[in-house]
Amino acid sequence: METQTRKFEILRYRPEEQSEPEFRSYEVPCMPDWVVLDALNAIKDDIDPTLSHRWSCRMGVCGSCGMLVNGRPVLTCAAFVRDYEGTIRVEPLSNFPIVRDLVVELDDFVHKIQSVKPWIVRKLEKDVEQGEYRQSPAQLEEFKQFSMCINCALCYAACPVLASEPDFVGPAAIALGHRYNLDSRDEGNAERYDAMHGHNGVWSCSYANECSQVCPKHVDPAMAVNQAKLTGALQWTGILPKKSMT
Amino acid sequence: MSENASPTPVAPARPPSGFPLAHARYRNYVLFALTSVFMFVGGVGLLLGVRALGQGPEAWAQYLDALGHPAVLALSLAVFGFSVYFTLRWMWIGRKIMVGRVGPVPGPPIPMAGLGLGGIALCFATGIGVLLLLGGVL
Amino acid sequence: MKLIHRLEPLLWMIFGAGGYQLALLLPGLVLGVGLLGGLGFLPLEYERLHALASSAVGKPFLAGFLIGLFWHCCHHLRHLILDLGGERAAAPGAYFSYALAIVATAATVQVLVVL
Repeated sequence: METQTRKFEILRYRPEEQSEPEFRSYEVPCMPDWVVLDALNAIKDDIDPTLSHRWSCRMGVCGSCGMLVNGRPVLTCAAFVRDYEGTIRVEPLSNFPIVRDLVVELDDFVHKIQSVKPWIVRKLEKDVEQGEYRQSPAQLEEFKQFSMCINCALCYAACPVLASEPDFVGPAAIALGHRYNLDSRDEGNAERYDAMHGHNGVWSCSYANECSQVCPKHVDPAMAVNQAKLTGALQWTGILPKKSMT
Repeated sequence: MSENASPTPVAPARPPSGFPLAHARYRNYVLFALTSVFMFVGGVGLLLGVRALGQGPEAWAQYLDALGHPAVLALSLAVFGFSVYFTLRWMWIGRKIMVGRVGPVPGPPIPMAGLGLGGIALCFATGIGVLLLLGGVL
Repeated sequence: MKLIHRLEPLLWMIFGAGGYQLALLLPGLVLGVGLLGGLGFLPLEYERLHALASSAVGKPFLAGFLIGLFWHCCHHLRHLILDLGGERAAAPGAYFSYALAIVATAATVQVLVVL
């Protein structure tokens, strides 16, 4: 297969040498079946070993290689070079502080995910001898879509609300909390209420729907966030009890 | 992201690329938020009409005259355009809330697209109804 | 702002209810009154419309519709101000928006009382 040389503009930030991020250009000979991640790896291997970027699985599962390509948050392992015309601009995810080059600081994201207690909360745990918690296919279907999140954080990079309200819990965390609230085995609705429906919870969302547009796993976080608004509002009025969601 | 952060030195977060106007996807969102301004103006216009109704036939005739002024007509056209855009987007993205389960109650077993298009069709029908009511047919 | 944060679910419910009212009715009303009425294509007779608006159904309906409209728009305006103005605009934007809604509500009540 013949290579084609493509121009990449990559936002570089090396704190020991630069006071602020700036773009640097690279001419990269690309194979026709390359994704943007392949080109980044080629730059690091053959052109400029100082480039830093995160990646792992190369198959859209691990969620590590999210970046902005021509301004849009994507998994670079799923973004084919041939689908872009002209110069390809690669930047670290927006709405996240930049540690180095294309690597962003994810601590705050992880704290937000943890804040909604994304695990099954039970008042009383069964003994192992009592067997598993059974669930019908219909009960699984209720939340399955929201459980497909790979924590790639593209939705946080796309969200216009997070730019003006950095403490907003955000799409992925709320979708995950909603997923557990909808799970027939879970009893943790009240424990999640403050994180999901408190000051920095669902009410900050103004339904730009961008999170759902960029989600590579079709989780549709905007759907989760806005369904959670209705549930939360009815719980606030007392029409719907907080504890017996399921 | 907030700064309850790590000891790692970082460059500040950058806002989403192209917000608010450089990409169509963000423009649509800002346009949707802008409907609030125009629909508020429309509400004030309707409120002035109700006030004129309360003040008697002469005030009402003056109100209708004012509505016929070219500048007011242009404003009405803008309000109408924004309200139609609002209706379309509201019903289209709102369908995702309608399929959600509320407590023990499951959402309607209707395909999502059907729910959105059905909502828009319903709004179209009520719009015709409003026109018939205003025109004295109903 | 603390009070506003406590009332977020209520504000959202009013926003939602107002939004559905608007989607269902506002295009028809603006087309009928503002455009067709303004151009003289639709006979907007005083007697009939006054009777309709001031009836036992008309008044509460207008109250609900107009107040819902104003609160819906002002809540959305608050988010618009925040999106365009950033974090610093959050509190002033919210105060301004809801103050506007309160003024519009008072005006609506006053107009409907004398109708």
